Amino acid sequence: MNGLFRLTIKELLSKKIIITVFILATIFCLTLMFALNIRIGGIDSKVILNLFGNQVNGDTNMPSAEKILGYIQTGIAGTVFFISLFIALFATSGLFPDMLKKGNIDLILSKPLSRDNIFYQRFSGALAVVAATVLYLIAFSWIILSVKFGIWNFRYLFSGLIILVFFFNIFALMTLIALFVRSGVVSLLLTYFIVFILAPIIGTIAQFGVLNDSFYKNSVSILHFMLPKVNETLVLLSNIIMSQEFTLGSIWISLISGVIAVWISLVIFKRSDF
Amino acid sequence: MPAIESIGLSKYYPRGKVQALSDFSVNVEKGTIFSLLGPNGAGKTTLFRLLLGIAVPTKGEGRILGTHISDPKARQKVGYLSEDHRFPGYLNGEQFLYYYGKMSGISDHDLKRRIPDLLKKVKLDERKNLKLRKYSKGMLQRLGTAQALINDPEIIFLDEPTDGIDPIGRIEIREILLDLKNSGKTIFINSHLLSEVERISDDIAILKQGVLIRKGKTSDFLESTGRYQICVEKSKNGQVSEIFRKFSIENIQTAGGFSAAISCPEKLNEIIDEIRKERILIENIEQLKNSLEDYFIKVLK
Ligand SMILES: Nc1ncnc2c1ncn2[C@@H]1O[C@H](COP(=O)(O)OP(=O)(O)O)[C@@H](O)[C@H]1O
Ligand SMILES: [Mg+2]
Repeated sequence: MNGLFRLTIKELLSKKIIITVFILATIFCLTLMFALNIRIGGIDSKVILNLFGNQVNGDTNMPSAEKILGYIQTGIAGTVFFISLFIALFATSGLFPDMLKKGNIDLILSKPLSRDNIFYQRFSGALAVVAATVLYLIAFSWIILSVKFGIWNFRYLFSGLIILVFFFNIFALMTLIALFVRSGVVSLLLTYFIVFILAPIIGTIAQFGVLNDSFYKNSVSILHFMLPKVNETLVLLSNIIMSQEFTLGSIWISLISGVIAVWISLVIFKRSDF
Repeated sequence: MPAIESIGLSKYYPRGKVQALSDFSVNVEKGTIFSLLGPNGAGKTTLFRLLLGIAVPTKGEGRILGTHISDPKARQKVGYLSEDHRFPGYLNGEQFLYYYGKMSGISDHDLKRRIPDLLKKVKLDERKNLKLRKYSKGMLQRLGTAQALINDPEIIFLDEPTDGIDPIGRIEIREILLDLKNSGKTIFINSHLLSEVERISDDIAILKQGVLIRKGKTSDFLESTGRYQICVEKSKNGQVSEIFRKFSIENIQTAGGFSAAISCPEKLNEIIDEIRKERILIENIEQLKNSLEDYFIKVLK
Protein backbone atom coordinates (compact mmCIF):
# COMPACT_ATOMS: atom_id res chain seq x y z
CA MET A 1 0.00 0.00 0.00
CA ASN A 2 3.05 2.28 -0.08
CA GLY A 3 2.62 2.97 -3.80
CA LEU A 4 2.05 6.69 -3.39
CA PHE A 5 5.09 7.08 -1.12
CA ARG A 6 7.25 5.41 -3.72
CA LEU A 7 5.61 7.30 -6.55
CA THR A 8 6.39 10.58 -4.77
CA ILE A 9 10.06 9.63 -4.50
CA LYS A 10 10.07 8.65 -8.15
CA GLU A 11 8.41 11.93 -9.08
CA LEU A 12 11.02 13.98 -7.21
CA LEU A 13 13.92 12.01 -8.66
CA SER A 14 12.51 12.46 -12.15
CA LYS A 15 13.05 16.16 -11.66
CA LYS A 16 16.64 16.79 -12.55
CA ILE A 17 17.16 19.20 -9.69
CA ILE A 18 17.45 16.62 -6.93
CA ILE A 19 19.90 14.52 -8.91
CA THR A 20 21.90 17.68 -9.64
CA VAL A 21 22.12 18.46 -5.93
CA PHE A 22 23.32 14.92 -5.25
CA ILE A 23 26.01 15.25 -7.90
CA LEU A 24 27.13 18.66 -6.64
CA ALA A 25 27.24 17.35 -3.07
CA THR A 26 29.40 14.47 -4.23
CA ILE A 27 31.74 16.74 -6.15
CA PHE A 28 32.03 18.99 -3.11
CA CYS A 29 32.89 16.10 -0.81
CA LEU A 30 35.37 14.62 -3.26
CA THR A 31 37.04 18.01 -3.53
CA LEU A 32 37.40 18.08 0.24
CA MET A 33 38.77 14.58 0.12
CA PHE A 34 41.46 15.19 -2.47
CA ALA A 35 42.24 18.88 -2.38
CA LEU A 36 42.18 19.69 1.32
CA ASN A 37 45.29 18.88 3.27
CA ILE A 38 45.80 19.39 6.92
CA ARG A 39 49.07 19.22 8.67
CA ILE A 40 49.34 19.61 12.39
CA GLY A 41 52.90 19.81 13.43
CA GLY A 42 55.94 21.91 14.02
CA ILE A 43 57.25 22.87 17.40
CA ASP A 44 54.07 24.55 18.67
CA SER A 45 51.55 22.16 17.01
CA LYS A 46 50.47 24.65 14.36
CA VAL A 47 47.63 23.78 12.01
CA ILE A 48 48.50 24.23 8.38
CA LEU A 49 45.59 24.15 5.95
CA ASN A 50 46.26 23.40 2.31
CA LEU A 51 43.70 23.68 -0.44
CA PHE A 52 44.77 22.57 -3.92
CA GLY A 53 48.34 22.66 -2.64
CA ASN A 54 48.17 26.29 -1.49
CA GLN A 55 48.42 27.22 2.13
CA VAL A 56 45.20 28.90 3.16
CA ASN A 57 45.98 30.17 6.61
CA GLY A 58 48.77 32.37 7.86
CA ASP A 59 51.48 31.20 10.19
CA THR A 60 50.69 33.30 13.20
CA ASN A 61 47.83 33.37 15.70
CA MET A 62 46.25 30.19 14.49
CA PRO A 63 43.24 28.93 16.39
CA SER A 64 43.14 25.33 17.48
CA ALA A 65 42.35 22.49 15.12
CA GLU A 66 38.94 22.05 16.79
CA LYS A 67 38.08 25.67 16.10
CA ILE A 68 39.07 25.47 12.46
CA LEU A 69 37.11 22.28 11.97
CA GLY A 70 34.15 23.95 13.69
CA TYR A 71 34.32 26.93 11.36
CA ILE A 72 34.41 24.71 8.31
CA GLN A 73 31.54 22.56 9.54
CA THR A 74 29.46 25.57 10.54
CA GLY A 75 30.03 27.00 7.07
CA ILE A 76 28.86 23.80 5.43
CA ALA A 77 25.87 23.38 7.75
CA GLY A 78 24.80 26.98 7.20
CA THR A 79 25.05 26.53 3.44
CA VAL A 80 23.13 23.28 3.59
CA PHE A 81 20.53 25.01 5.74
CA PHE A 82 19.86 27.67 3.14
CA ILE A 83 20.29 25.48 0.09
CA SER A 84 18.08 22.78 1.56
CA LEU A 85 15.39 25.34 2.11
CA PHE A 86 15.78 27.09 -1.18
CA ILE A 87 16.16 24.11 -3.49
CA ALA A 88 14.17 21.54 -1.56
CA LEU A 89 11.19 23.86 -1.32
CA PHE A 90 11.49 24.60 -5.00
CA ALA A 91 11.62 20.90 -5.89
CA THR A 92 8.74 19.90 -3.63
CA SER A 93 6.44 22.86 -4.19
CA GLY A 94 4.46 21.16 -6.95
CA LEU A 95 3.86 17.90 -5.09
CA PHE A 96 0.57 18.70 -3.41
CA PRO A 97 -0.96 21.05 -6.01
CA ASP A 98 -0.15 18.54 -8.77
CA MET A 99 -1.67 15.68 -6.83
CA LEU A 100 -4.82 17.71 -6.19
CA LYS A 101 -5.40 18.46 -9.86
CA LYS A 102 -8.57 17.11 -11.34
CA GLY A 103 -8.00 13.85 -13.14
CA ASN A 104 -5.12 12.92 -10.86
CA ILE A 105 -6.64 13.13 -7.39
CA ASP A 106 -9.77 11.28 -8.62
CA LEU A 107 -7.76 8.21 -9.44
CA ILE A 108 -5.75 8.29 -6.21
CA LEU A 109 -8.87 8.74 -4.09
CA SER A 110 -10.54 5.82 -5.88
CA LYS A 111 -7.87 3.54 -4.41
CA PRO A 112 -8.65 1.73 -1.16
CA LEU A 113 -6.65 4.27 0.85
CA SER A 114 -7.91 6.59 3.55
CA ARG A 115 -7.30 10.27 3.03
CA ASP A 116 -4.94 10.37 6.01
CA ASN A 117 -2.91 7.62 4.43
CA ILE A 118 -2.75 9.46 1.09
CA PHE A 119 -1.65 12.66 2.78
CA TYR A 120 1.03 10.99 4.89
CA GLN A 121 2.45 9.00 1.99
CA ARG A 122 2.78 12.12 -0.12
CA PHE A 123 4.20 14.20 2.69
CA SER A 124 6.68 11.64 3.94
CA GLY A 125 7.81 10.81 0.41
CA ALA A 126 8.95 14.42 0.02
CA LEU A 127 10.61 14.44 3.45
CA ALA A 128 12.41 11.18 2.71
CA VAL A 129 14.05 12.56 -0.43
CA VAL A 130 15.12 15.79 1.25
CA ALA A 131 16.36 13.92 4.31
CA ALA A 132 18.39 11.56 2.17
CA THR A 133 20.02 14.47 0.34
CA VAL A 134 20.83 16.49 3.46
CA LEU A 135 22.07 13.53 5.48
CA TYR A 136 24.17 12.30 2.57
CA LEU A 137 25.98 15.62 2.30
CA ILE A 138 26.43 16.06 6.04
CA ALA A 139 27.52 12.48 6.68
CA PHE A 140 29.87 12.30 3.71
CA SER A 141 31.59 15.59 4.56
CA TRP A 142 31.67 14.61 8.23
CA ILE A 143 33.60 11.44 7.50
CA ILE A 144 36.11 13.20 5.27
CA LEU A 145 36.70 16.12 7.64
CA SER A 146 36.90 13.81 10.63
CA VAL A 147 39.55 11.67 8.99
CA LYS A 148 41.54 14.69 7.83
CA PHE A 149 41.49 16.42 11.19
CA GLY A 150 41.51 13.28 13.25
CA ILE A 151 38.66 14.83 15.27
CA TRP A 152 35.26 13.14 15.26
CA ASN A 153 32.79 15.93 15.95
CA PHE A 154 29.47 14.15 16.37
CA ARG A 155 27.69 17.43 17.00
CA TYR A 156 28.06 18.18 13.30
CA LEU A 157 25.94 15.12 12.51
CA PHE A 158 23.36 16.32 14.99
CA SER A 159 23.16 19.62 13.12
CA GLY A 160 21.87 17.65 10.10
CA LEU A 161 18.86 16.63 12.17
CA ILE A 162 18.24 20.22 13.20
CA ILE A 163 18.23 21.24 9.54
CA LEU A 164 15.70 18.51 8.78
CA VAL A 165 13.36 19.43 11.60
CA PHE A 166 13.40 23.01 10.39
CA PHE A 167 12.72 21.87 6.84
CA PHE A 168 9.82 19.78 8.11
CA ASN A 169 8.37 22.92 9.67
CA ILE A 170 8.69 24.96 6.49
CA PHE A 171 7.49 22.19 4.19
CA ALA A 172 4.41 21.74 6.36
CA LEU A 173 3.79 25.47 6.13
CA MET A 174 4.15 25.39 2.34
CA THR A 175 1.78 22.42 2.14
CA LEU A 176 -0.80 24.26 4.20
CA ILE A 177 -0.54 27.29 1.92
CA ALA A 178 -0.71 25.03 -1.16
CA LEU A 179 -3.97 23.50 0.04
CA PHE A 180 -5.48 26.97 0.11
CA VAL A 181 -4.08 28.38 -3.11
CA ARG A 182 -3.82 25.08 -5.04
CA SER A 183 -0.82 26.41 -6.95
CA GLY A 184 2.77 25.27 -6.59
CA VAL A 185 4.30 28.55 -7.73
CA VAL A 186 2.16 30.76 -5.51
CA SER A 187 2.71 28.60 -2.43
CA LEU A 188 6.46 28.53 -3.12
CA LEU A 189 6.73 32.30 -3.47
CA LEU A 190 4.70 32.92 -0.34
CA THR A 191 6.85 30.48 1.59
CA TYR A 192 10.06 32.05 0.27
CA PHE A 193 8.75 35.44 1.29
CA ILE A 194 7.98 34.25 4.81
CA VAL A 195 11.22 32.33 5.31
CA PHE A 196 13.78 34.49 3.57
CA ILE A 197 12.35 37.98 4.01
CA LEU A 198 9.67 38.32 6.65
CA ALA A 199 11.04 35.98 9.32
CA PRO A 200 14.66 37.24 9.23
CA ILE A 201 13.59 40.91 9.28
CA ILE A 202 11.09 40.48 12.09
CA GLY A 203 13.58 38.26 13.92
CA THR A 204 16.27 40.92 13.67
CA ILE A 205 13.96 43.71 14.78
CA ALA A 206 12.77 41.64 17.73
CA GLN A 207 16.30 40.68 18.66
CA PHE A 208 17.72 44.20 18.76
CA GLY A 209 14.60 45.78 20.20
CA VAL A 210 14.87 48.93 18.11
CA LEU A 211 11.20 49.79 18.55
CA ASN A 212 10.04 52.04 21.35
CA ASP A 213 6.30 52.19 20.73
CA SER A 214 4.78 49.37 22.79
CA PHE A 215 2.08 48.56 20.23
CA TYR A 216 4.61 47.91 17.47
CA LYS A 217 6.87 46.18 19.91
CA ASN A 218 4.12 43.77 20.92
CA SER A 219 3.04 43.18 17.32
CA VAL A 220 6.59 42.33 16.37
CA SER A 221 6.90 39.94 19.31
CA ILE A 222 3.71 38.15 18.38
CA LEU A 223 4.71 37.91 14.72
CA HIS A 224 8.15 36.79 15.73
CA PHE A 225 6.67 34.08 17.87
CA MET A 226 4.47 32.81 15.04
CA LEU A 227 7.00 32.99 12.22
CA PRO A 228 9.56 30.27 11.49
CA LYS A 229 12.63 30.57 13.66
CA VAL A 230 15.20 31.21 10.93
CA ASN A 231 17.66 33.33 12.89
CA GLU A 232 17.50 31.21 16.02
CA THR A 233 18.02 27.99 14.07
CA LEU A 234 21.13 29.40 12.39
CA VAL A 235 22.56 30.45 15.73
CA LEU A 236 21.64 27.08 17.16
CA LEU A 237 23.48 25.28 14.35
CA SER A 238 26.63 27.26 14.94
CA ASN A 239 26.46 26.83 18.72
CA ILE A 240 25.98 23.11 18.46
CA ILE A 241 28.84 22.59 16.05
CA MET A 242 31.21 24.94 17.89
CA SER A 243 30.48 23.16 21.18
CA GLN A 244 29.00 26.25 22.73
CA GLU A 245 26.08 26.39 25.07
CA PHE A 246 22.73 26.06 23.39
CA THR A 247 19.08 25.47 24.11
CA LEU A 248 16.81 23.44 21.85
CA GLY A 249 13.79 25.64 22.54
CA SER A 250 13.52 27.12 19.05
CA ILE A 251 13.77 23.76 17.32
CA TRP A 252 11.04 22.34 19.57
CA ILE A 253 8.84 25.24 18.54
CA SER A 254 9.63 24.48 14.88
CA LEU A 255 8.71 20.86 15.40
CA ILE A 256 5.45 21.71 17.11
CA SER A 257 4.43 24.34 14.56
CA GLY A 258 5.22 21.83 11.80
CA VAL A 259 2.96 19.28 13.44
CA ILE A 260 0.20 21.86 13.77
CA ALA A 261 0.53 22.86 10.10
CA VAL A 262 0.33 19.19 9.09
CA TRP A 263 -2.71 18.71 11.25
CA ILE A 264 -4.57 21.71 9.78
CA SER A 265 -3.60 20.64 6.25
CA LEU A 266 -4.92 17.19 6.91
CA VAL A 267 -8.23 18.52 8.20
CA ILE A 268 -8.59 20.64 5.06
CA PHE A 269 -7.63 17.76 2.78
CA LYS A 270 -10.12 15.42 4.42
CA ARG A 271 -12.94 17.90 4.04
CA SER A 272 -12.30 18.79 0.42
CA ASP A 273 -14.40 17.69 -2.50
CA PHE A 274 -12.63 16.98 -5.74
CA MET B 1 -26.53 -8.24 -2.46
CA PRO B 2 -26.30 -5.84 -5.39
CA ALA B 3 -22.85 -4.80 -6.61
CA ILE B 4 -23.66 -1.12 -6.26
CA GLU B 5 -26.43 0.53 -4.27
CA SER B 6 -27.21 4.20 -4.48
CA ILE B 7 -29.82 5.26 -1.95
CA GLY B 8 -31.06 8.77 -2.57
CA LEU B 9 -27.59 10.10 -3.33
CA SER B 10 -27.64 13.85 -3.77
CA LYS B 11 -24.97 16.44 -4.35
CA TYR B 12 -25.18 20.20 -4.17
CA TYR B 13 -22.13 22.23 -5.15
CA PRO B 14 -22.34 25.48 -3.23
CA ARG B 15 -19.57 27.04 -5.30
CA GLY B 16 -21.49 26.86 -8.56
CA LYS B 17 -24.88 26.77 -6.80
CA VAL B 18 -25.63 23.59 -8.77
CA GLN B 19 -27.78 20.69 -7.68
CA ALA B 20 -25.63 18.25 -9.62
CA LEU B 21 -27.51 15.16 -8.45
CA SER B 22 -30.93 14.82 -6.81
CA ASP B 23 -32.12 11.86 -4.83
CA PHE B 24 -30.57 9.27 -7.10
CA SER B 25 -31.49 5.68 -6.27
CA VAL B 26 -30.45 2.68 -8.27
CA ASN B 27 -29.14 -0.84 -7.77
CA VAL B 28 -26.61 -2.36 -10.10
CA GLU B 29 -26.74 -6.13 -10.03
CA LYS B 30 -23.63 -8.28 -10.07
CA GLY B 31 -22.41 -9.47 -13.43
CA THR B 32 -24.31 -6.91 -15.48
CA ILE B 33 -23.38 -3.94 -17.61
CA PHE B 34 -25.20 -0.86 -16.43
CA SER B 35 -25.11 2.34 -18.44
CA LEU B 36 -25.91 5.77 -17.14
CA LEU B 37 -26.83 8.05 -20.00
CA GLY B 38 -27.38 11.74 -20.15
CA PRO B 39 -26.13 14.90 -21.83
CA ASN B 40 -23.05 16.76 -20.62
CA GLY B 41 -23.62 18.26 -17.20
CA ALA B 42 -26.35 15.79 -16.29
CA GLY B 43 -24.50 14.67 -13.16
CA LYS B 44 -23.10 11.32 -14.27
CA THR B 45 -19.54 12.02 -13.19
CA THR B 46 -20.83 13.45 -9.94
CA LEU B 47 -22.49 10.12 -9.16
CA PHE B 48 -19.18 8.31 -9.75
CA ARG B 49 -17.36 10.79 -7.52
CA LEU B 50 -19.83 10.16 -4.72
CA LEU B 51 -19.69 6.40 -5.05
CA LEU B 52 -15.88 6.39 -5.12
CA GLY B 53 -15.38 8.70 -2.14
CA ILE B 54 -13.93 11.50 -4.24
CA ALA B 55 -16.71 13.86 -3.19
CA VAL B 56 -19.02 13.64 -0.20
CA PRO B 57 -22.80 13.44 -0.75
CA THR B 58 -24.95 16.18 0.68
CA LYS B 59 -27.67 13.59 1.22
CA GLY B 60 -28.18 9.89 0.79
CA GLU B 61 -25.79 7.00 0.99
CA GLY B 62 -24.28 4.27 -1.08
CA ARG B 63 -22.76 0.82 -0.80
CA ILE B 64 -20.34 -1.10 -2.95
CA LEU B 65 -20.49 -4.87 -2.46
CA GLY B 66 -22.25 -4.15 0.82
CA THR B 67 -19.60 -1.80 2.21
CA HIS B 68 -20.54 1.81 2.89
CA ILE B 69 -18.91 4.22 0.44
CA SER B 70 -17.35 6.27 3.25
CA ASP B 71 -15.16 3.28 4.07
CA PRO B 72 -12.02 3.04 1.89
CA LYS B 73 -12.44 -0.75 1.93
CA ALA B 74 -15.46 -0.31 -0.34
CA ARG B 75 -12.99 0.52 -3.10
CA GLN B 76 -10.89 -2.61 -2.59
CA LYS B 77 -12.43 -4.45 -5.53
CA VAL B 78 -13.13 -1.46 -7.70
CA GLY B 79 -11.47 -0.28 -10.89
CA TYR B 80 -11.97 3.24 -12.20
CA LEU B 81 -11.35 5.02 -15.46
CA SER B 82 -11.88 8.71 -14.84
CA GLU B 83 -13.14 11.16 -17.38
CA ASP B 84 -10.46 13.86 -17.75
CA HIS B 85 -7.56 11.86 -16.51
CA ARG B 86 -4.15 13.37 -16.01
CA PHE B 87 -1.62 10.58 -15.67
CA PRO B 88 1.94 11.38 -14.54
CA GLY B 89 3.91 12.18 -17.69
CA TYR B 90 7.25 11.19 -16.19
CA LEU B 91 6.24 7.53 -15.93
CA ASN B 92 6.14 5.06 -18.78
CA GLY B 93 3.18 2.78 -19.37
CA GLU B 94 4.60 -0.12 -17.42
CA GLN B 95 5.65 2.00 -14.44
CA PHE B 96 2.26 3.67 -14.36
CA LEU B 97 0.50 0.33 -13.99
CA TYR B 98 3.06 -0.74 -11.39
CA TYR B 99 2.76 2.28 -9.07
CA TYR B 100 -1.02 2.53 -9.33
CA GLY B 101 -1.26 -1.21 -8.79
CA LYS B 102 0.81 -0.79 -5.65
CA MET B 103 -1.66 1.86 -4.47
CA SER B 104 -4.34 -0.78 -4.79
CA GLY B 105 -2.27 -3.02 -2.56
CA ILE B 106 -1.32 -5.59 -5.20
CA SER B 107 1.78 -7.67 -4.55
CA ASP B 108 4.85 -7.42 -6.79
CA HIS B 109 4.35 -11.05 -7.67
CA ASP B 110 0.84 -10.48 -9.03
CA LEU B 111 1.82 -7.28 -10.79
CA LYS B 112 4.68 -8.97 -12.59
CA ARG B 113 2.17 -11.34 -14.13
CA ARG B 114 -0.72 -8.94 -14.69
CA ILE B 115 1.00 -5.92 -16.21
CA PRO B 116 2.21 -7.66 -19.41
CA ASP B 117 -1.21 -9.30 -19.84
CA LEU B 118 -3.04 -6.02 -19.52
CA LEU B 119 -0.66 -4.15 -21.79
CA LYS B 120 -1.22 -6.80 -24.40
CA LYS B 121 -4.97 -6.64 -23.92
CA VAL B 122 -5.08 -2.91 -24.66
CA LYS B 123 -2.43 -3.26 -27.39
CA LEU B 124 0.20 -1.14 -25.70
CA ASP B 125 2.78 -3.84 -25.04
CA GLU B 126 5.10 -2.36 -27.64
CA ARG B 127 4.79 1.11 -26.13
CA LYS B 128 5.32 0.14 -22.53
CA ASN B 129 8.68 1.95 -22.31
CA LEU B 130 7.40 5.21 -23.75
CA LYS B 131 6.87 8.09 -21.32
CA LEU B 132 3.19 8.94 -20.87
CA ARG B 133 3.80 12.55 -21.89
CA LYS B 134 4.39 11.15 -25.36
CA TYR B 135 1.21 9.06 -25.44
CA SER B 136 -1.70 10.13 -27.64
CA LYS B 137 -5.16 10.68 -26.19
CA GLY B 138 -6.31 7.30 -27.45
CA MET B 139 -3.28 5.51 -25.98
CA LEU B 140 -3.85 7.18 -22.62
CA GLN B 141 -7.47 6.10 -22.70
CA ARG B 142 -6.47 2.50 -23.36
CA LEU B 143 -3.82 2.62 -20.66
CA GLY B 144 -6.42 4.07 -18.31
CA THR B 145 -8.63 1.10 -19.09
CA ALA B 146 -5.78 -1.27 -18.29
CA GLN B 147 -5.19 0.61 -15.04
CA ALA B 148 -8.85 0.16 -14.12
CA LEU B 149 -8.27 -3.60 -14.33
CA ILE B 150 -4.94 -3.75 -12.50
CA ASN B 151 -6.42 -5.06 -9.25
CA ASP B 152 -8.61 -7.63 -10.99
CA PRO B 153 -11.67 -5.72 -9.77
CA GLU B 154 -15.19 -7.06 -9.27
CA ILE B 155 -16.71 -3.75 -10.33
CA ILE B 156 -15.40 -1.42 -13.01
CA PHE B 157 -16.46 2.21 -13.23
CA LEU B 158 -15.86 3.69 -16.66
CA ASP B 159 -16.50 7.38 -17.25
CA GLU B 160 -16.87 8.05 -20.98
CA PRO B 161 -14.63 5.09 -21.89
CA THR B 162 -14.69 5.61 -25.64
CA ASP B 163 -13.82 9.31 -25.50
CA GLY B 164 -11.00 10.12 -27.87
CA ILE B 165 -10.82 6.60 -29.25
CA ASP B 166 -11.11 5.83 -32.94
CA PRO B 167 -13.87 3.54 -34.25
CA ILE B 168 -11.68 0.43 -34.32
CA GLY B 169 -10.48 1.12 -30.81
CA ARG B 170 -14.11 1.46 -29.74
CA ILE B 171 -14.93 -1.96 -31.05
CA GLU B 172 -11.91 -3.35 -29.22
CA ILE B 173 -12.98 -1.73 -25.97
CA ARG B 174 -16.48 -3.09 -26.44
CA GLU B 175 -15.00 -6.55 -26.81
CA ILE B 176 -12.94 -6.15 -23.67
CA LEU B 177 -16.07 -5.10 -21.79
CA LEU B 178 -18.09 -8.06 -23.02
CA ASP B 179 -15.18 -10.33 -22.05
CA LEU B 180 -15.20 -8.90 -18.56
CA LYS B 181 -18.92 -9.32 -18.27
CA ASN B 182 -18.62 -12.93 -19.35
CA SER B 183 -16.12 -13.50 -16.58
CA GLY B 184 -18.70 -12.26 -14.09
CA LYS B 185 -17.56 -8.66 -13.57
CA THR B 186 -19.94 -5.79 -13.03
CA ILE B 187 -19.49 -2.78 -15.27
CA PHE B 188 -20.91 0.67 -14.69
CA ILE B 189 -20.54 2.98 -17.68
CA ASN B 190 -21.18 6.69 -17.98
CA SER B 191 -21.73 8.00 -21.44
CA HIS B 192 -23.33 10.82 -23.33
CA LEU B 193 -23.03 8.73 -26.48
CA LEU B 194 -25.86 6.32 -26.57
CA SER B 195 -24.70 4.37 -29.60
CA GLU B 196 -21.63 3.33 -27.63
CA VAL B 197 -23.49 1.42 -24.97
CA GLU B 198 -26.77 0.44 -26.58
CA ARG B 199 -25.44 -2.85 -27.86
CA ILE B 200 -23.74 -4.10 -24.72
CA SER B 201 -25.78 -2.79 -21.77
CA ASP B 202 -28.15 -4.95 -19.77
CA ASP B 203 -29.66 -1.98 -17.99
CA ILE B 204 -29.91 1.66 -18.78
CA ALA B 205 -30.72 4.73 -16.73
CA ILE B 206 -31.23 8.18 -18.12
CA LEU B 207 -30.22 11.22 -16.15
CA LYS B 208 -31.12 14.81 -16.90
CA GLN B 209 -30.09 17.81 -14.79
CA GLY B 210 -29.31 15.54 -11.88
CA VAL B 211 -32.65 13.76 -11.94
CA LEU B 212 -33.19 10.14 -12.85
CA ILE B 213 -35.74 10.18 -15.65
CA ARG B 214 -36.05 6.54 -16.46
CA LYS B 215 -34.35 3.25 -15.85
CA GLY B 216 -34.96 -0.24 -17.09
CA LYS B 217 -33.72 -3.17 -19.15
CA THR B 218 -32.23 -2.13 -22.45
CA SER B 219 -34.82 -4.25 -24.24
CA ASP B 220 -37.63 -2.29 -22.55
CA PHE B 221 -36.40 0.81 -24.24
CA LEU B 222 -36.61 -0.85 -27.63
CA GLU B 223 -40.41 -1.06 -27.91
CA SER B 224 -42.16 -1.97 -31.10
CA THR B 225 -43.69 0.97 -32.90
CA GLY B 226 -46.48 -1.06 -34.54
CA ARG B 227 -45.05 -0.26 -37.92
CA TYR B 228 -43.35 -2.28 -40.64
CA GLN B 229 -41.10 -1.14 -43.37
CA ILE B 230 -41.87 -2.84 -46.69
CA CYS B 231 -39.65 -2.44 -49.67
CA VAL B 232 -40.64 -3.60 -53.18
CA GLU B 233 -39.23 -3.10 -56.68
CA LYS B 234 -39.45 0.64 -57.34
CA SER B 235 -41.59 0.42 -60.50
CA LYS B 236 -44.40 -1.30 -58.56
CA ASN B 237 -44.72 1.34 -55.82
CA GLY B 238 -47.98 2.63 -57.29
CA GLN B 239 -49.64 -0.82 -57.18
CA VAL B 240 -48.57 -1.32 -53.55
CA SER B 241 -50.02 2.06 -52.63
CA GLU B 242 -53.29 0.82 -54.14
CA ILE B 243 -53.23 -2.32 -51.99
CA PHE B 244 -52.67 -0.31 -48.80
CA ARG B 245 -55.64 1.88 -49.74
CA LYS B 246 -57.79 -1.22 -50.18
CA PHE B 247 -56.88 -2.43 -46.67
CA SER B 248 -57.16 1.20 -45.45
CA ILE B 249 -53.71 1.15 -43.95
CA GLU B 250 -52.00 4.41 -43.10
CA ASN B 251 -48.61 4.55 -44.77
CA ILE B 252 -45.76 6.85 -45.66
CA GLN B 253 -43.53 6.35 -48.63
CA THR B 254 -39.87 6.84 -47.75
CA ALA B 255 -36.58 6.27 -49.47
CA GLY B 256 -36.37 2.84 -47.88
CA GLY B 257 -39.86 1.79 -49.03
CA PHE B 258 -43.24 2.05 -47.32
CA SER B 259 -43.54 2.63 -43.61
CA ALA B 260 -46.97 1.20 -42.81
CA ALA B 261 -48.98 0.99 -39.62
CA ILE B 262 -49.79 -2.72 -39.47
CA SER B 263 -51.29 -3.87 -36.21
CA CYS B 264 -50.44 -7.59 -36.13
CA PRO B 265 -48.48 -10.30 -37.98
CA GLU B 266 -51.74 -11.76 -39.39
CA LYS B 267 -52.55 -8.49 -41.09
CA LEU B 268 -49.02 -8.28 -42.38
CA ASN B 269 -49.34 -11.73 -43.98
CA GLU B 270 -52.63 -10.85 -45.67
CA ILE B 271 -50.94 -7.85 -47.24
CA ILE B 272 -47.94 -9.92 -48.31
CA ASP B 273 -50.31 -12.43 -49.94
CA GLU B 274 -52.01 -9.61 -51.81
CA ILE B 275 -48.72 -8.15 -53.00
CA ARG B 276 -47.47 -11.56 -54.12
CA LYS B 277 -50.76 -12.23 -55.98
CA GLU B 278 -49.84 -9.25 -58.16
CA ARG B 279 -46.42 -10.93 -58.66
CA ILE B 280 -44.65 -7.90 -57.18
CA LEU B 281 -41.15 -8.68 -55.93
CA ILE B 282 -40.74 -7.97 -52.20
CA GLU B 283 -37.17 -6.89 -51.49
CA ASN B 284 -37.27 -6.43 -47.75
CA ILE B 285 -39.64 -6.40 -44.75
CA GLU B 286 -38.58 -5.05 -41.36
CA GLN B 287 -40.34 -4.47 -38.08
CA LEU B 288 -39.74 -0.87 -37.03
CA LYS B 289 -38.59 -0.45 -33.43
CA ASN B 290 -38.31 2.69 -31.44
CA SER B 291 -34.57 3.12 -31.54
CA LEU B 292 -33.01 4.03 -28.24
CA GLU B 293 -31.59 7.07 -29.96
CA ASP B 294 -35.10 8.35 -30.73
CA TYR B 295 -36.19 7.58 -27.22
CA PHE B 296 -33.15 9.26 -25.74
CA ILE B 297 -33.73 12.40 -27.72
CA LYS B 298 -37.46 12.39 -26.99
CA VAL B 299 -36.87 12.07 -23.25
CA LEU B 300 -34.24 14.72 -23.07
CA LYS B 301 -36.24 17.36 -24.92
N1 LIG C 1 -16.50 20.61 -8.38
C1 LIG C 1 -17.61 21.21 -8.85
N2 LIG C 1 -18.00 22.42 -8.37
C2 LIG C 1 -19.10 23.02 -8.83
N3 LIG C 1 -19.92 22.49 -9.76
C3 LIG C 1 -19.61 21.29 -10.28
C4 LIG C 1 -18.44 20.58 -9.85
N4 LIG C 1 -18.39 19.42 -10.53
C5 LIG C 1 -19.46 19.40 -11.34
N5 LIG C 1 -20.20 20.51 -11.19
C6 LIG C 1 -21.46 20.81 -11.90
O1 LIG C 1 -22.34 19.74 -11.66
C7 LIG C 1 -23.09 19.45 -12.82
C8 LIG C 1 -22.94 17.99 -13.20
O2 LIG C 1 -21.62 17.78 -13.65
P1 LIG C 1 -21.09 16.34 -14.06
O3 LIG C 1 -21.42 15.38 -12.98
O4 LIG C 1 -19.66 16.48 -14.41
O5 LIG C 1 -21.94 16.01 -15.35
P2 LIG C 1 -21.72 14.90 -16.49
O6 LIG C 1 -20.65 13.96 -16.05
O7 LIG C 1 -23.04 14.23 -16.64
O8 LIG C 1 -21.33 15.62 -17.73
C9 LIG C 1 -22.62 20.41 -13.89
O9 LIG C 1 -23.54 21.49 -13.96
C10 LIG C 1 -21.28 20.87 -13.40
O10 LIG C 1 -21.01 22.16 -13.82
MG1 LIG D 1 -18.99 13.46 -17.03
